[in-house]
Amino acid sequence: MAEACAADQVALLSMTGLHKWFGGVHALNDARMVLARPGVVHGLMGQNGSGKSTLLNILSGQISPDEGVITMRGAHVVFRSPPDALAKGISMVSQETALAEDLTVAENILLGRRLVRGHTGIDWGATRDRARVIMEQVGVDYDPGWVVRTLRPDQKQMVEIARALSTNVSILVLDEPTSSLTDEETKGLFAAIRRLKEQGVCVIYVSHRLPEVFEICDELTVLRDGVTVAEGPKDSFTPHSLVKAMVGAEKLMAPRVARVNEEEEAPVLEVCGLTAPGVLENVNLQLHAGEIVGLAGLVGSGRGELLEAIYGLRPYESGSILLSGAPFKNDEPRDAIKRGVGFVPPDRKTAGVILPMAVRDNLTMPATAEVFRMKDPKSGSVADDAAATSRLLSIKATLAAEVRTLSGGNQQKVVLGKWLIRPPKVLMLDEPTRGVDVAAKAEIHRYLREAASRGIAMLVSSSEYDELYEVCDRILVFFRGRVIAELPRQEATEARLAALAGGAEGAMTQELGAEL
Amino acid sequence: MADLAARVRDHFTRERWINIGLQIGALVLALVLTTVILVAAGAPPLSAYWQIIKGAVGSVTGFSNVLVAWVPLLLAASGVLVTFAAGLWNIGVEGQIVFGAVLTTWVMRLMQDTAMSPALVIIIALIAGMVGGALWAALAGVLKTFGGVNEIFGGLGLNYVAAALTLWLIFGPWKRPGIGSMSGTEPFPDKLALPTIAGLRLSPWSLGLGILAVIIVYILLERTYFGLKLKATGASNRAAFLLGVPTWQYGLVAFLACGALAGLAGAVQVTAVYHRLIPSISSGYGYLGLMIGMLIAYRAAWVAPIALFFAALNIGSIQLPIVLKLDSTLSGVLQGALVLFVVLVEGARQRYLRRAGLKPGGA
Repeated sequence: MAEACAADQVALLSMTGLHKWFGGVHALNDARMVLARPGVVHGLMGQNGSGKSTLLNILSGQISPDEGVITMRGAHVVFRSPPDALAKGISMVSQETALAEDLTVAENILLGRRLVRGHTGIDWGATRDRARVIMEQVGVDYDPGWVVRTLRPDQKQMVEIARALSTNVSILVLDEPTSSLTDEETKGLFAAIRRLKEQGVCVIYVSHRLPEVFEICDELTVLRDGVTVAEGPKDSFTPHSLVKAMVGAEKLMAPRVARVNEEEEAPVLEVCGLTAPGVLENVNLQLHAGEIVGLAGLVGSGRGELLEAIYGLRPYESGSILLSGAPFKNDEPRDAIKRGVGFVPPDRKTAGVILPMAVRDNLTMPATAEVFRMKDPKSGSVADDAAATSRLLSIKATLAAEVRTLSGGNQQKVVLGKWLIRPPKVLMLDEPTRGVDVAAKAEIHRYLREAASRGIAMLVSSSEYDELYEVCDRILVFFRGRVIAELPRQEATEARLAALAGGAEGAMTQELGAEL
Repeated sequence: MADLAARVRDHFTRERWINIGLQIGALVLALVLTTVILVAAGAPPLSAYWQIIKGAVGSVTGFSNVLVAWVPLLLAASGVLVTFAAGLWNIGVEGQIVFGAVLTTWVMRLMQDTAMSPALVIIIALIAGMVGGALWAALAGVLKTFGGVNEIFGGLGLNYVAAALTLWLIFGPWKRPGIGSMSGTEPFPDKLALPTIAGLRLSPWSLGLGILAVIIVYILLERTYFGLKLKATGASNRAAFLLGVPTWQYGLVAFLACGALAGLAGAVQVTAVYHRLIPSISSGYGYLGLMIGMLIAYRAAWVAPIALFFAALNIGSIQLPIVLKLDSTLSGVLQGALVLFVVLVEGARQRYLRRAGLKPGGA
């Protein structure tokens, strides 16, 4: 303990006793992260909702903590804003690229920095030279005059990192930098990270992928429910102990009454060898009436992309989809709806509901997709069914209320309710309870099980493992576009799913499964 | 009963009263701005307003002229509303009126010397106007859907093309015997004019067409699934597409419908008002229609009264140059200021609601 205190005093960065409340949610509850010395790669680990993003947002000056002490090299600091954090040497590369696509690499790297100015404005020659120096720092040698739009994802990533390094950076935060990179591209990224390390830059590395973390990180901090539950050098962790720290005490599965017909019946939906290069690799799937199949995996692992491909939103190169035994290929969601396939998209506010329209108007939309109607949407059988569905799902609003005035939970019930008026054969849901409070989540899970008991086949893609074993009969785990495991509900534990989704080897997960 | 009570409660919430207050505030602000301009120009504001009111409703002739101006405004504004509902800014409505007028004139020139009955010629000419407007709108729609040209730029460009085309026709192929002039093409014989009320310029037929258009658009947008889906396309294209609405097809249909109504406005100007093609055949009714659309923000029920108000302002200010030596564009100042302040007040209200956290989705 005394040793830790001594280390804290001279630590490059120390964040201790951090608390942050969002309304009633205690996002950080005595979290800490200490970067003892420069030139290390520090892994920040945690499940979704563990407080990682909150911690990073505090570090990059986007929000301020309600409590806690932050010091850099022994001195107290407060990060008032992102530029303030940047001035203090902290630079963050977030998950989604934030580059100006139509500008050149050099322009992007030095955008807003105003470092190079000639007598009459911008000294382009000096700008390119400066950009080239920074790019050499990360070990890339492409022309700073290239337009960013023409670059590959990994090249864009490098430009972002180069941009982050264009000021005097001592701590570089990389939030899930490999989520859109291939294995080969990841190797290039790691080479760049090692190079930065040698130059004394401290890298905070956030990732869900266990093999990567063990390859690149020197030390780790693990958050769970806003608390730092483990920290230390990488060697003090095993994949096993790391997953255990992230997941916590194993939660028991809620017993879902198995109602799947045991006797062999033809699948409603069958996916054979579906391949979309770089996105889906030879995906096979069978779904029976009344069955709920869960799709687990990281963001970008292919689980959401599979649903998009089935719904006609994403082209694929080879493979086939069969609906009730007949080939099912459509170009537009409209065709999918006509044939009896529904889809709940993950982004509720932009794709799931039409915010400025009434609850009733939202509910009746897909039920009337197949016909050109000149009837009044405020009356008639579909409108009556919408009213009944609203009551059934206990949506707490009038039918005429605009959806944007509803709470997240009620909005999500509207999203779900749309598909219950004229139920499809197959309902696909991507993140069915994202941003929904606990009570509404439980209700939605109940409705899903009820709908399945009435014979609707369902695919549920979710990043929340408890949700998957709450509602699913079996779970497919995706990793980099492939289905790498299929688990019956009885064998799915949170630890095992997390390990598989992170790309851990089969042997390790079996060991986990046996032990937990 | 409970339903009725709930509806009454829904209708008269506190928020609604605040909204009505804000709209009146916007009207007051527009009047204040116009008054400031009048004072700066050295004109007596009160007598200017009095002249406008007198010019618009002071006599039967005056008011009938207001109704004459009302018709193209009704047609243009209700057309604009259809495209607004689909989330499209059909700036090209002005050009669509003009091209409708061009096609109407063409058809009438072809048929005026045939033995066809005048009524049939007029009907065909009106339909030709609708087709012309729809064609011109389809150009903007196709440019948008398949060429990725924003409908604002496409429409604006086509407006200039339509205006130039009119001038070329008037001074070129369709010029009056002898020499072409700004007064337009050779007038059509009286039998090819929509019948007007004796002594007035107002045709009950064109008035009927304008009112019919507003009613049809109102029913379409407020009382059908078609209108619902059109509005869904406008409110959230992505969500509507995922819910099975054929979004780009609906967008094109909206363009065609708006173009047909605008083209009808052009046809009415030719057959009932000017009886020939003139360079300023639309007189800016398309742009005024857009302003009305912005002012009433999608609510089809408001087209008729606001269009009537705008028509009254236009006609009322015609006397201003003679009586007060003021330019008649004063009505335009007042209309522009009104739209500006209503949009401004609405923007401020939305901003306040977001700040106060009363409305989710601000983040």
